[in-house]
Amino acid sequence: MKLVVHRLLCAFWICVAGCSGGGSAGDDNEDNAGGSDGAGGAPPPAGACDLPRELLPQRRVIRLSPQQYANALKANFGFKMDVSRLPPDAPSGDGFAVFDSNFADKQITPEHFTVFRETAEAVASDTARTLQGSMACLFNKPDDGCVAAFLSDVGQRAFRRPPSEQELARYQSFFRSVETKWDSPAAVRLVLEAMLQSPAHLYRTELGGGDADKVALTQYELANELSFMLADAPPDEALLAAAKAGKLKDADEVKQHAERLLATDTSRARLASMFGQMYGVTPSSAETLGKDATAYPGFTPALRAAMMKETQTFVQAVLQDDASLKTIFGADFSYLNNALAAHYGANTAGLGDEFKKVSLPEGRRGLLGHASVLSVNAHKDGSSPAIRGIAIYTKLLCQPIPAAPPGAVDLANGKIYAPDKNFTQREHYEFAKQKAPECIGCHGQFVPLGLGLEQFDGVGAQRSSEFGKPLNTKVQLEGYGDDVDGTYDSTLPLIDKLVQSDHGARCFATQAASFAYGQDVSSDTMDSCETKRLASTLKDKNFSVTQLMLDLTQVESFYNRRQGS
Amino acid sequence: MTTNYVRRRDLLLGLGAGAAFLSPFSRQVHAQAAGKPGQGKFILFFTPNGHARSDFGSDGNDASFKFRRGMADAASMADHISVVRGLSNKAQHPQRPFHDQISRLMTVKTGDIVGTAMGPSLDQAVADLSAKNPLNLKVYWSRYDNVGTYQNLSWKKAAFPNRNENDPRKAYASVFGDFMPSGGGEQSPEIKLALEQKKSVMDFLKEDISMFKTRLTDSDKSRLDVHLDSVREFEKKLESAPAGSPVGGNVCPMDKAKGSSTYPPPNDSGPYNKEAFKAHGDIQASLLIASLACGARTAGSIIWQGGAGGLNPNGAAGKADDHHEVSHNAAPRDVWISIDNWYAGRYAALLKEAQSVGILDDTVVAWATEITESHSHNNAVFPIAGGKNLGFKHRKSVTFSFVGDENGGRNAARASGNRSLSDLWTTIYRACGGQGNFGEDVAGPINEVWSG
Repeated sequence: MKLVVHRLLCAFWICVAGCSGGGSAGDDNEDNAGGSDGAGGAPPPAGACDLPRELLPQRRVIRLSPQQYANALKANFGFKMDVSRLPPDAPSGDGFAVFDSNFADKQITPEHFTVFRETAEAVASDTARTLQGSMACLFNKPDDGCVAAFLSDVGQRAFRRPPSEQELARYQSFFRSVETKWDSPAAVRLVLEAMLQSPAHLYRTELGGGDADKVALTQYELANELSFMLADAPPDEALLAAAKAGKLKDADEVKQHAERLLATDTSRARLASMFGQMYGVTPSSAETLGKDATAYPGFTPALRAAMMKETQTFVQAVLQDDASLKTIFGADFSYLNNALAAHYGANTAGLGDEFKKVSLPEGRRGLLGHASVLSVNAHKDGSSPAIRGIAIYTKLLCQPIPAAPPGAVDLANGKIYAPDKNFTQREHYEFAKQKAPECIGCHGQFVPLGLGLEQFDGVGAQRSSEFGKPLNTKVQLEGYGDDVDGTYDSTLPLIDKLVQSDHGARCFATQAASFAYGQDVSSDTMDSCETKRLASTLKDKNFSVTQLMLDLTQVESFYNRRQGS
Repeated sequence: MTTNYVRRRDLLLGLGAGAAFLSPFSRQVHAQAAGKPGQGKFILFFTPNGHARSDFGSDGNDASFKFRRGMADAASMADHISVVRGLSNKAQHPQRPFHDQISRLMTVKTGDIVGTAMGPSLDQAVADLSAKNPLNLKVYWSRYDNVGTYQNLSWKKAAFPNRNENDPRKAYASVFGDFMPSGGGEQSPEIKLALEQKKSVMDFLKEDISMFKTRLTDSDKSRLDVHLDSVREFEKKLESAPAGSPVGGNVCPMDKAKGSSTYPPPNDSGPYNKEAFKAHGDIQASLLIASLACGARTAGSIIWQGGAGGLNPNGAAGKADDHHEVSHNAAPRDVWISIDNWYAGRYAALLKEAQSVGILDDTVVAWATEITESHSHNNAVFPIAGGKNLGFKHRKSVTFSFVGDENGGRNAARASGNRSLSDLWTTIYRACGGQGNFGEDVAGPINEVWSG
């Protein structure tokens, strides 16, 4: 029997197992803004859609992610910090699109503040020592010129833009008050500490200038947006110079810088992390993913690490090659070491600890065939069609999952929680359909997608049976378009087809936009003129991810923001 | 431009506090900045998988007080321990009383979301009494690492778990990064200077954040308010740092705490090593005691593996004597009892260390586990130690008669007729200076072990 995935919104009743997972700021000179007249934002780049205000990202400030913070310190102060000292950002958003770039809920809690403060103190101490050699005037009753030069230099390094006149005046005043109370070296150090704890350092702004419904981002905001989007790092000298010259008003100039950044390993690593985040394969899961030792005695930290490395290595390699989504989701090869190849039942000849390109065994293909993705999206002691199904439903079909209604847990546990312990997952699902049909309105949308991956156990090893019973992984998709609807032997060939479909391309363009702009997305976003054009170009350019990222710098969403509440 | 690494020494030298950082290591010094007078301290000692209940705890009172086999190795500290039997955690999820209900062990509040507690937990509530954060430490070997819902014992508030720090070096930095005691009853000039300079930066920063907020949207302003609150919380620490003199004559054991500053966490990919597990646990316990004795914290927890943790600290790893496995199988009961007893030894060692620095009588130390037997939260046994100056009685074996299915298991109904774990937490909360009850279903404090 095959299972049909219809395109429907989840019904009212859903079950918890599947669904519960479910100065002035930016003191950039306003006359340096990217916009034309300040009344309605910058004009869209040539050929781009003129978006309605409500589909633009909101004006906002975005706290740097732990990795961005570390990268900024390294790039601008030569300081290397242990990123793990900062609490990892919890995924935000509604499960539809969940990326570390999403601005929602990123706060500076006391735990963050402790690390930011201690790090600021360490960087300040270190930088002050360096300045003793390069700017000796600072340390013995410096004149205003010396102090101003110091503030301009470290201000730009800390704020990733030149400090405003107002900021310079405030820091100069602070410098003099500390100097009066203690001495010049203390003033140097404390000013640095203050700058490195300032919101201007810890947040990236997208505030633009003016009060119109649409506001154009400033030149330095654009430089920061582009650099953090593609490299997860602050703008380099070339980008800052372009911002200073006002050149980032020109979409072609932005494109040139984007092309330059996309050609780097740093950018490929950043884009690879987008795919990892889509399916929960992150540095955090690489360290904390746990499995029941009885169910999976072979799941060692070394194997877990190999799984995570495979995904990063594979995606980066594809990005360097054809960069095509078709390859990422459909490749019959991957990069494995000996242990992971053995786990997959692949040919281990010639393999050791090094990761090498290896042909995958029959039945395993693409990113969703990676053990990392399959293990993260599973239970500690078994697979989980619901969790895997949700991952596909939300990330590749871009369908939202509503919150579990009150009482869903009791309903689920009371009616369906204690079937025969030797039920296969499909038998369990069929049992639940009979006993709790009210759950199926929602679960029926995604569980079948997960059942189509039951040929992989909770740690991604292939199997042909469960409890001695043969597996049935057939799945049928309906309502997503003629170019993808149909019956498939399992979910993997379905995904292969889906990413090349119109719906799949629009969904991926939406996901990529969410990653790039750090905003929540909705079905409205997916149906927007901008998304449709991005998807169309994606299909025309052999589904190239790097081309899509380039295109994301050539649309209005890159340049303008809407006023918020 | 050179590339540098964050080093502890640099952090402190950067403050001009280098001398203060280095000098205390050579001797033990008296504590600074302890909690308010009368403020009790609290430690939760957590071990996983329940206990071999019938062999765990104690019998008799006063002179006839005696531990059962599963606690025999705590005998040396029997004069400081009582045991309460027959409590139920009625805040467990009614259909899911599993190991992941560790999240409700110290919150004892109901809610419909599995793995999410309502908070704050008891340690946070006690820490809040003195405007401090709890210190939450964990000890595990990576093979048996557990994900969030099996470790989230401490909660700042609803849906905000406190992090359990596994790395002693990071834990040390978080505790002693700012307020190194200098000896005697006064702060050293170096510390005073560092604190004054920090205050000046915080003053500037508050103004900076307020100005930054002016152009933001309401939602962004709210997030900047959280940032501002974090600055103010640090200011509170600065204000409390120089005050106070040694409380009760206790000792700030910097020599012991120093060990944490250089102790690497267990090798993440190495094989199970029971000696390393014990050593890691003991260094974490020493830091926890030092943080209380030195006045940096007033509450904390130490987790010897998360819920459902599988390590048998007595022997080699493996299915045959996996702690989690053993707890679900009656056959190797002696193995389970020996595991309980091993932890009893560590419990006693922690108490002894607290005693050696003079804080045991001001500190109540509860030993708890996420379940009792067979996936149930019914009829649990809780050793309670220390806190003599807070009114706790010792060498008492208190047994509340239990009504209902003590093992229960999946789909067990809440045992409504029994005394609740909330009663014990309320007892501790009040003893530490809190007002009112803690948690749900509170009948009142347990006066059999607390004189009020």
